[in-house]
Amino acid sequence: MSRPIETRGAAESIPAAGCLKDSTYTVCGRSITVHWEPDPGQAGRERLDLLLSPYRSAESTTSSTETVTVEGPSADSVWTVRDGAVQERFLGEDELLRQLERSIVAACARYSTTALILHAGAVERDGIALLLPAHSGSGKTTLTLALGARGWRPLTDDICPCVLLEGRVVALPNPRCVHVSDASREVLDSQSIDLEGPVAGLPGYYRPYSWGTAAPLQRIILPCYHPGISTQMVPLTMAEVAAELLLMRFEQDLLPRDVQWNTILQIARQAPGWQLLYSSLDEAFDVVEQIVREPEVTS
Amino acid sequence: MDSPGAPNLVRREDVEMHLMPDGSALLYDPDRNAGYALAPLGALVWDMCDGTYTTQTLLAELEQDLVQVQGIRKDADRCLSEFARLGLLTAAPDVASTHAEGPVPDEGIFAHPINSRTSTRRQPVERPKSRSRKPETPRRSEMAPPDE
Repeated sequence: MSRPIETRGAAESIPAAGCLKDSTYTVCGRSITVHWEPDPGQAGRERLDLLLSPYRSAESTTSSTETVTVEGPSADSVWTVRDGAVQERFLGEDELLRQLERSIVAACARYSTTALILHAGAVERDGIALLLPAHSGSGKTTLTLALGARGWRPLTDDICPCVLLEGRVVALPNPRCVHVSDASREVLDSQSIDLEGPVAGLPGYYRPYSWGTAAPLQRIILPCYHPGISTQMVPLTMAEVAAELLLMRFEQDLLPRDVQWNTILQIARQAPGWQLLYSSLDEAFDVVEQIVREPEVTS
Repeated sequence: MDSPGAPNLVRREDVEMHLMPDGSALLYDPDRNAGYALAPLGALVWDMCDGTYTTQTLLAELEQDLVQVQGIRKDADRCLSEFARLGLLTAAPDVASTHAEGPVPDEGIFAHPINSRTSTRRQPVERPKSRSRKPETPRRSEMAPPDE
């Protein structure tokens, strides 16, 4: 339906001096500029900057590629976002910010030329990374963050960029705000996992205090939380891992399909996969440690 | 035994198969942007769908060559049914193909604007609660857009 938000490559020049009405964000190597018109006392822009602070780039000028314009609010608190000829309307600043944050990250991912971007959590410890691909509601974010109790540092809770380095697929950090429910916060509190937030005063938006560093993927764990279920880990074939990653990849319009495809196949070859069914975090931690201790495969 | 005139099994040429080092295989259907994981038997059955065999001759040959594998006929037959159901074969008797479902509609960037609360977003395929360890049946792994 709508024309996608345009992006430009990070390698292109970004003007150093900026217009106060503009903010530029770079995610997975792609940038989007948000132009606020008229200037709404800077409140909305400042909150969006807080939400997207790790992605903030040098300011844009009005002569640069302005791709998204925010107007409002109207008397009835409706904000309008213009993306070329397409216009979208949002009720209230919080809703505007949620949608802008999500849309900017999603659009950058869509136009990124990073080898592969997956809908997955990822954690890093001692130079190795675990990938946790899963749909919403599977407990992915909670498990990703809770693994901090065992020394794993989050790389991302939902959008994981991956690149090929020296024949190995490496997961990169993507410090997007995490979306955590009150119930999840209680679980994380019980594991002494502290989060910064709510970021920009937006309910449910938090940020870990520290992030992991880029690391080669060593294991794939498909988390599936079910209350009351006994903890099980089910080994997956390489093809099952690859099929799962295919399901979890972002469409990347500017990337040749073979690049994504080869990266997926390489992950399946280098990182054994398991499905993890669990209802207890402590048991899940033990299983994860057991999986990590499994002998490494050579592809 | 095949009924008279039973067609030979022919896999679609545009469907890619990638053999993995552990013997499993991934089928990729570019028309549906979907991937299917196969166990080694599934990969073998797929490989045999080269126009040489009918359903019955394929099953008979497998049964004869792999006599030590229990239930091979049933598992291979299930594979063929799945291939046919997923529209991966050009000739698939007695099984309704779902290949003509069409592409997933493009939804654009904003999934939930206030003037369009009803999302047309295609829901992801639900994972089974307990995974069968009989992966001879191809597991559908269809591309779905990520959700918040």
